[in-house]
Amino acid sequence: MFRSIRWNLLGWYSALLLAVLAGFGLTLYHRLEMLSDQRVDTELASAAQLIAQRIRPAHHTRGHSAAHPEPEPIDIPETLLQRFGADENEAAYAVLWLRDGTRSASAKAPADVPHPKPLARENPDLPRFRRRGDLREVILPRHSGGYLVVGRSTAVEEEQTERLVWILVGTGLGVLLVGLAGGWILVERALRPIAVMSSTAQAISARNLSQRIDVAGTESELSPLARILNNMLDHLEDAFEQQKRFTADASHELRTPLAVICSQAELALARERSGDEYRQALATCAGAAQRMRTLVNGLLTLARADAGMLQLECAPFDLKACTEECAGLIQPLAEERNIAVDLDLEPVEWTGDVQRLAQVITNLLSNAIRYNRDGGKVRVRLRQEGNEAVLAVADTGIGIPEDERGSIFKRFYRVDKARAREMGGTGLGLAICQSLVTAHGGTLECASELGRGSTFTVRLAGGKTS
Amino acid sequence: MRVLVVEDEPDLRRLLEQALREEGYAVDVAEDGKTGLYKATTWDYDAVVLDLMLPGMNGWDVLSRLRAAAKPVPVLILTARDGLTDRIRGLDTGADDYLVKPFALAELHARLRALIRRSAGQASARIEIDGVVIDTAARTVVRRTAEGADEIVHLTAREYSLVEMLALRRGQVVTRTDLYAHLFDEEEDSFSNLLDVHVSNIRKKLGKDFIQTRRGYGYVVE
Repeated sequence: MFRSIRWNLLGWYSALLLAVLAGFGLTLYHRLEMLSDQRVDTELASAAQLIAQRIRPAHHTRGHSAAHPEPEPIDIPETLLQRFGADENEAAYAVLWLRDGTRSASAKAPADVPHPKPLARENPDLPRFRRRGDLREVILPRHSGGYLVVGRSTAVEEEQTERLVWILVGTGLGVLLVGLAGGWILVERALRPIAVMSSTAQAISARNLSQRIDVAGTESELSPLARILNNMLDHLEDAFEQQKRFTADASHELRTPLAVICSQAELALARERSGDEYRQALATCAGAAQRMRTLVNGLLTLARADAGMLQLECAPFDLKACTEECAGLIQPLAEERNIAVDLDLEPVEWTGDVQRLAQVITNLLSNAIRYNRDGGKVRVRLRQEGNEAVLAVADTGIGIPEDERGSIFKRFYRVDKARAREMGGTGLGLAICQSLVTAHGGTLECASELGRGSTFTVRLAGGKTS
Repeated sequence: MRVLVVEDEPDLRRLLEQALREEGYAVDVAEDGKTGLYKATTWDYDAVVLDLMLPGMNGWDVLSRLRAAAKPVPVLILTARDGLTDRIRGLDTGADDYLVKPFALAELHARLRALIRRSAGQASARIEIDGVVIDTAARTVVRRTAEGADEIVHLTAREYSLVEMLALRRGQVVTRTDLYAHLFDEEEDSFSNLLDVHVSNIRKKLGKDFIQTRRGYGYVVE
């Protein structure tokens, strides 16, 4: 769950919202409390000033001796009382300490008001404040020494503040919930295009690869993704189509020789025949079986190469010697068609699978001979060029048209179908050559001029002149 | 009955030609689409065996052009492609039947017989004319004698083909030209006499009135 974008987004958003609301709430609360305190303090200070003015030194009253002045109970004016309220809880009180420690208090003053802590330097006009639980007191140092403390309960203010806190919390929660709900909706909206894309992609399977994600319907940030996915699907569809075509072609190619064998056998057995007829029939079957075998081997090689499972037995060998051997193998074919094979080879040592390379070279040579004109030539050139071994097989045939040059390496592709069948071609030769060369990390290219001939060039990395 | 085989694989073409000849058909061959189309539109065949994968013009084109030329000849498609869409396409383009390679020759023969029978408007493989029962599937002719017994009539392949052809077109006068066209393929030289010889031999075996001559027109079986 924690890896989900939705929950992540919502989580962080809620936390942020909560933090903002909490911060706001706390700040508000703090400020309001401060203001409230200030107000109380101001009130207390002015009350203290008022009361201080009304206190007369003892020797101004009733003729007591100056040495021991009788402190009078402090008299709080009615107006102040009214301001603070008549309630016991809200009663204001005043306590006066003379310099000599005598204490005089107002009627409602609590008994336990502590003496203010004296400062090093007292400024008589500067009040200071202290809080004792519910009570807020102002301390006014007197000119004549001593202190006047005026205080009152702040229970009402506290209650108000508490009420405010609850309002804030309630509203805050409400806002939070609305915010969360809104956030959820927004996240849903944002994530919906992704969900649509996902479900479209899910619906696309091997059977209906032609479906695509609707790019027009996605948000602008998602359209690159949609486009990329569509491209990928295009490639996949192509690959699947190619695979299907290949399978269909392979199956078709195998069925024809199979049909020959089946029908030939059935026909031969339909009635009594002469020994020669039976021989002919068996020869036909053998020929068709041989074609099938070549085809199956070719298909297996291609399948293995495709799956990366070609087991190459690599060892160093001389490409020149290998080419000469292959040329020797196809010599009878060349003579049969009156083709001259010209070898221009330099010794080149290279490391690879000699059997597979021989297969490639022989195939290229036999193609060069078969698709040549009568009395034509085949020129084979082998050189080490830089860090590549380069083998070129050129013929003087009819050439390959430009628009087909790319296709000749495709499986089962034949430029001239009738002629190819006549030569026993399966259409796989060049595809196999290319697979084998690529498996060795090399390249096979074709250059051709219509009417003049074609040249097939194999480039193999590595190798050195020996 | 004369059939055309259009198949580019030489071994298979040769095989089909031989197999069909041995079944008593007159057989022409073509190794590519163009030649096949030309022959099919030029002559009247009783059936065409057509391969789909042909060099040059492929089987589909041959078939659609054949139908476009309003040639009603029955066509049996022979091919290595067995996909459902191919089968449907083949039948919709105008083929009458479809055989997938590799196939059994016996099945090919049976399907061809069915095609020919159907195009002649015959519902059953057995045709009965005047006490003579011709089984086109088994290629036999059985005659009920006056005593009520069934005796097999031995006809040569050519004789049987002639009887079968006239029987399938029962009631219609078939011209000598048509008979030649359908009984002999292009490989054979035809001599007028040959036809008359066959007819007279058949009359010896099946009765004088079996085949009737319409002077100046041809022959008919009633």
